[in-house]
Amino acid sequence: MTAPSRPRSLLNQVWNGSIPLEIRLASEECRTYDQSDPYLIQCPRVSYWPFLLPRIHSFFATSLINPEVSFSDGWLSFEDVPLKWQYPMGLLYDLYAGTEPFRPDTSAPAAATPTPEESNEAEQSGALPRPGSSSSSTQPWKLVLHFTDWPQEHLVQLDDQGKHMQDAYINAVKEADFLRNGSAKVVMSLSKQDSTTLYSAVQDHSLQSYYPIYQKFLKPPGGPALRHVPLKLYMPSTSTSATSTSTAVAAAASSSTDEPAPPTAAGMLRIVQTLVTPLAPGGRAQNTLGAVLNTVLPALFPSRRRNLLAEPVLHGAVVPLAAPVEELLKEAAYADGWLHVVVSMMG
Amino acid sequence: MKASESSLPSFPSISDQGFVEACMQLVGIYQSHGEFQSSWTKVQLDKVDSVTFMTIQRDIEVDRNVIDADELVDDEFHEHDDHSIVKTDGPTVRARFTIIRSPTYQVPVLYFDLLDQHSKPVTDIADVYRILVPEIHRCQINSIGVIGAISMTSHPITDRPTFFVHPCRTAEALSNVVSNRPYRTLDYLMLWFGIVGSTLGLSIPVELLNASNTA
Repeated sequence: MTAPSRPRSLLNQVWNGSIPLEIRLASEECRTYDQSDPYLIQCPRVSYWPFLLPRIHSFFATSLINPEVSFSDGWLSFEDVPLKWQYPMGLLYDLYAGTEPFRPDTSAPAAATPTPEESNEAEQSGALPRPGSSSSSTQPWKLVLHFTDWPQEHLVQLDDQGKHMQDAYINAVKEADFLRNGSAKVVMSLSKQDSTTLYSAVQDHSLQSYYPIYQKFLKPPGGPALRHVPLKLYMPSTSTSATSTSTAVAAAASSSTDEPAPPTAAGMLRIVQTLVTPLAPGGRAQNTLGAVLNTVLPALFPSRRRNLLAEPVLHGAVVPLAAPVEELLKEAAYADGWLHVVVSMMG
Repeated sequence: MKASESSLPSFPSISDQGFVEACMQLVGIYQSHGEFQSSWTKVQLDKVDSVTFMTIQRDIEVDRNVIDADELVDDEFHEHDDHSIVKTDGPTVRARFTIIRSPTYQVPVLYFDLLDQHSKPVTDIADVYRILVPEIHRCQINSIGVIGAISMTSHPITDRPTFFVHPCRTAEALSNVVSNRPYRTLDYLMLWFGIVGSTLGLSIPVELLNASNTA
């Protein structure tokens, strides 16, 4: 199949992808009348923003009205949308930043089925916020940092020891593992050393220490063939409140309607997850992203070959619909083992 | 009973259809027998974006010996306490449980929130343990995972922060307790309440349990 060096090189580029951030302290929390200097950083796409907190907290320490706050009280927002810390930075950017994703050459005949190599190249060119060129061509993503008024309705609280962050990450890893192997035995049987190394590798952004353990996941020795591809689809929710659109299948006899309505949350998402097999149903052919989208979201993807109403975005690039999901998983998964694909409306 | 006759061919997993069927039966039992019990105050089945979920509400009177109730007691009431009022009961905490089938693990998953008497969410996991988890189950839960089998996540329906019982061991636990797979989907759900629900004080009230045996 694929030459060993190939996934390695594309995974490298996915890990090298980064987003320039311009972080400012919320004006109501800043001592100075004028805003303080922004904190500028290139944040890796596969990383998580809580890892930045100790650094940005000390950067803004002298500007804080309340110097007593802990770094783990910190949270980021973009245009009043609190950013979920359990999502990798690249997913948050693709969801909210509003920048146009990179599009591979659309003049190519859409119906043609590219080989994995071709789709890799398309992916490759798009996946890359290239070092050096990205910061000059891309405007930094302007985020606001807060240390007070934690948005309880939107974000799970963080803690000083980073336990919640680690817990969420490991849960995502476990779930991805369960999908790939049909059980979470691989993750469960990981040595304490290995699971610590895995999390540290993500914290330190070290593909070198991450890759050997990730390989054990993907190909457990003596393990079964890939069962399912861990894939989640994210789209902005059209409903302002989830329960208002709900159809009561059966209502309780005591029809108390004291349920507080969910907030009309800005940035609310609909997340779709389904069992995705590496092979197309019944056949020997590989399952493509287009086929998955056409099955799961037929209203948005009436064709499995062409983006008509919406397009799938991963690592900042529109993924060709012909890309086989198994290849995508091996070469373009986030550090938690998932393909987090944003469904972006066209036009 | 032959296995092939069972409506649960994939035990310890359950199909989406089987899950919905079992939930509908439980809601039906609640509708006909709910008035004979006081533990559950609401049982409801909803569907959002083709995801079916069951909501169960329980009001828990918190024992003052179990928790330092001062934090949960109405401040104003406290200030005007003139000894003429003898308040022996602790504050009431409302527990809202949501049960959703995980498309990954293919077992029901328990999500839950606690609201104090001001309808503010209880966010401290230590308080949650004290209020909800019967003492005999505490060690068992604490031994799994980084924090314990209880984690926080975004609720799959409301997108709000919520607690949940991590489902990665549910299937294993279900198959360990029974020698024969349950025959009916409702029996499966009952078994799940016994294994997962009961660890968070969500046991099927005996009045409903009796009714289910004749259902």
